[in-house]
Amino acid sequence: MATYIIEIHPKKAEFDPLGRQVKNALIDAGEPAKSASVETSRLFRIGGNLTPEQIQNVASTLLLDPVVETATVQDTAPVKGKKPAKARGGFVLDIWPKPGVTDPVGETVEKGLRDLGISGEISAASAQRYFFPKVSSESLIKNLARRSLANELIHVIDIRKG
Amino acid sequence: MLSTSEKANAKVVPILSAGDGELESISKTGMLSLTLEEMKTIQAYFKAAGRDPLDAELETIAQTWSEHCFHKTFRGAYEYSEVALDGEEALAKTPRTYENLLKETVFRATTEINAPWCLSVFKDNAGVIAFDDEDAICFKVETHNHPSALEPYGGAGTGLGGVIRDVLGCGLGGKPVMNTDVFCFGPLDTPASALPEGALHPKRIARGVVSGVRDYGNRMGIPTSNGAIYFDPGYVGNPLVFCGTVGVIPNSMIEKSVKPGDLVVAVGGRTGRDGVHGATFSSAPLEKGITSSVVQIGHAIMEKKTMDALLQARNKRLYRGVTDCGAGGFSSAIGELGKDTGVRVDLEKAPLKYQGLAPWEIWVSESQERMVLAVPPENWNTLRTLFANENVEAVALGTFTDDKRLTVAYHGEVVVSLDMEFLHDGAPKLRLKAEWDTNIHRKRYREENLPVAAGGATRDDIGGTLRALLAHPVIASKESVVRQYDHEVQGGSIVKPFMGAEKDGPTDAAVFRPKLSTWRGVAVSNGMNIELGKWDPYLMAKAAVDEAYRNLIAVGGGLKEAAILDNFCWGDQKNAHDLAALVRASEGAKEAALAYGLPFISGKDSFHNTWRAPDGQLHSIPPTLLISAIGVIDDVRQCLTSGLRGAENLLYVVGETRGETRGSIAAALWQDQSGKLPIVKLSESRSLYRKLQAGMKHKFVLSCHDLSDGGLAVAAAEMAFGSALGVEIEPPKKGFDLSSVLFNETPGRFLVEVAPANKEAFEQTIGLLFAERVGKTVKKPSVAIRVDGNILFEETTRALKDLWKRSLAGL
Repeated sequence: MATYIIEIHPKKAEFDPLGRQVKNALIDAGEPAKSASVETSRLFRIGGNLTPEQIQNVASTLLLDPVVETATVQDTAPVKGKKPAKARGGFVLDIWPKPGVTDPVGETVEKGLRDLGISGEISAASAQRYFFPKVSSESLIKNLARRSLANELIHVIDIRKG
Repeated sequence: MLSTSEKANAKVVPILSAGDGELESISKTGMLSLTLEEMKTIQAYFKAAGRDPLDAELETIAQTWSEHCFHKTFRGAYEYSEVALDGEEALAKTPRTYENLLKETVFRATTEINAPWCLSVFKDNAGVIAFDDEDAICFKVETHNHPSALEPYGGAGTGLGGVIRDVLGCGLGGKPVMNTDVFCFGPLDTPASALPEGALHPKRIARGVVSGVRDYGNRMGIPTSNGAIYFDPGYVGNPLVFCGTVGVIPNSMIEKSVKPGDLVVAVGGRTGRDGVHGATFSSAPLEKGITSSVVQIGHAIMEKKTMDALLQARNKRLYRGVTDCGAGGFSSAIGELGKDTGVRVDLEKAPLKYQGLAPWEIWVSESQERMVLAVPPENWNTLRTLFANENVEAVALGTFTDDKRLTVAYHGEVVVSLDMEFLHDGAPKLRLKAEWDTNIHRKRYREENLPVAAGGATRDDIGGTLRALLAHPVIASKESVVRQYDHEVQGGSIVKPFMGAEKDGPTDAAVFRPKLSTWRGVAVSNGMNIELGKWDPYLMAKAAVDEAYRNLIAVGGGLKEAAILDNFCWGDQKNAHDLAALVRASEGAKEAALAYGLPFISGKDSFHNTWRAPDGQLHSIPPTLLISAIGVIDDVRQCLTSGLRGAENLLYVVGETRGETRGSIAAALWQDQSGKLPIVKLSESRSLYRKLQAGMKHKFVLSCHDLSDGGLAVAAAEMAFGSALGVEIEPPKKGFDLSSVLFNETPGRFLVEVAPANKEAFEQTIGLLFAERVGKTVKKPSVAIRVDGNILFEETTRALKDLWKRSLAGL
């Protein structure tokens, strides 16, 4: 069973209201305004016997608004010889629901996959991603996550270098 | 035969040979929240049965006997006495006993009033009052405090989802037509050092709760038209989230029934581990080490689909009985429905979110968006098809029997076998001591928990006090929150949360038409007084009932039948003083209800609202009673709002103004509690309210606003906010200082606008004793206070409104 991560983010020219909100929270937390930029995206982890064409179809017809959003698809299976993605700097923060915690969006995506005719064993989970391209302090991101963006009772907080 | 097979994963819990310590340990480890006496009662039951219980049986009993489901504290027997008073009214010169506090106070008011418009009270998932020849109105309000403290968004959303399901599970199903929400948070500027360990900041809680309720209510297509938000340091570690729903139900569908042979059908969402131990968790204090399993996350779209399917099935009469899966999950819902008959359930039939759940987890899970129906077998296929057409699962889990037993099996092996009588009526009665000690109350709620002043002001600074009051979080405009909630969906709104020339003036109650075919409508309001509760819960309760009723009257429209609901949120129910406060509040609520002829039709209580401060001290929230009021309006076209109607009209205070500033928000700002506590003069107010309604009927009243937080000056400013006009207040000379006249919060009063042409008729209707001229409306949009002909204070309405709106703009 293959697992893909689909990332849905606003197109370059589009306003990111959640990103603005989190930027303000960063500035409140003491980060200088010029390094407080934030880009947000929605993540979906889709598991199942899907072909690459099917997963592209899922991304473009089920998960994104093509007018203002764009999608990237990543196969989580390691590919021999594949070069790692270029480091972008800063930090990436992903917030996933803990196993067993109800994920209504994920459940709805699963139903959507079946409506698209995908059969067999499938799974879907949703998450929120925040990319901080210019922040240099991991502890700042960690505190922001704990205080404002996630609830450790129900969320898994995953922070890594961008 | 009961079994401990690996397939069933059922565990025997050895209690027959357990001593007291072990019994208590079993309850604590299992998060059962059962007292030693309850454990011993269970032990005796199983001793007679000749066996130890299985884990699922203990869980079933724990859920059914939980505070949340059984209200054992409120139904308990009390011995009430007064150790020390300091001006409070003595309710018992010698110890006073109650065999059942709820029955002898709140419920007694309802039975004594015996209102013919009460069609179903205190027995179903919601209270029901008459509306017209075809339909009735059902109403339920309840709390979701602990879940919202842990996960504000999920907790608040599922709180609303749960009360919506209560209306769906009332009779054969009410159609939800309106939501109301009241929140109590810690101050938004609470320093991090004041937070209990692990507690979320009030700002975070507030934002999460507001958005959780928004997202659930809006997605359900139910308007949120009424509510309130309060802030107090007492809620820092334990917010309160009250969610309410009003529904419409055909008169022919108010009663439900269950017959042996009916199928037990579960509809809606699947079952997972979320919310396991939710009912017993709500009976425990908030401490560290809570697991994610007690957190419920909602799925509003699932509930919307379930609601749509259910109402279709209701109209086709495909089922005989319905209830919602709330606290305790299947164990409560199926146990309740089958209480009088008996029921057998096969748990392996329950659709699961994932594998690996033990039978007891399936049985007590509080996964959301589920309802249980009693379906005659001949209707099953039709019902299943109907639900499938709405993309909602419907599964037959078992059958109602006639053996008066609860039997639950898993793959053929019985994991629960209990007498219904023991399950529902076997809990030992709590016997409680309640001792009122004014010194404890003062220390706990007035010395250790002072409110935060919004910038402060002094008693003689009229303008400064008015500005500080308007900016005070309790009084400030909640528009930034309210605008997130759709209050127009379904098309029935009449008096909206904000009205007036710029659609941002406050209103006292929501009025809406549940049926668009008639001008008959429903008004919903609420009343609460946290400050007064810190002095005397007896006065607080009377004031809360009075405020809720006053708010209904203020919108006019020919209020007909009215009823109220109570929601007590209290601290430590093991504490004798907290229990005495509860007794006092219950008596106050009863008295006010009787005086006004307002029957209680439903109610809830939430205990263990305690939290541990950073210094290790255990705090209780202030005694908090929310009274929700609902009334039927003859003709919504006759309704009034608070926005001023014309210039050079007369302003009257209807009701007696007394210099009672103690317990007011102004007194807190001044840090001067030297005045008297406000009292409700019930029989006077009752007579006065009738006269005011007569004046409204004769159209002598152009606009009306109740006087509550902030008193006369704030009410006058708010009336100006809802118009393009201004006010000139000329306070009458009383035997107390000007500030007391302007800012006291004596209950039982309204500020009304009357055209000069109706002056005599209005004064004759109300009587000069209680209709006091206090000023006039003016064309100039300003708020002015004039004394002895001189302007003492004047500010533009715009400037004051900006202050009022800016305070909570970022919430």
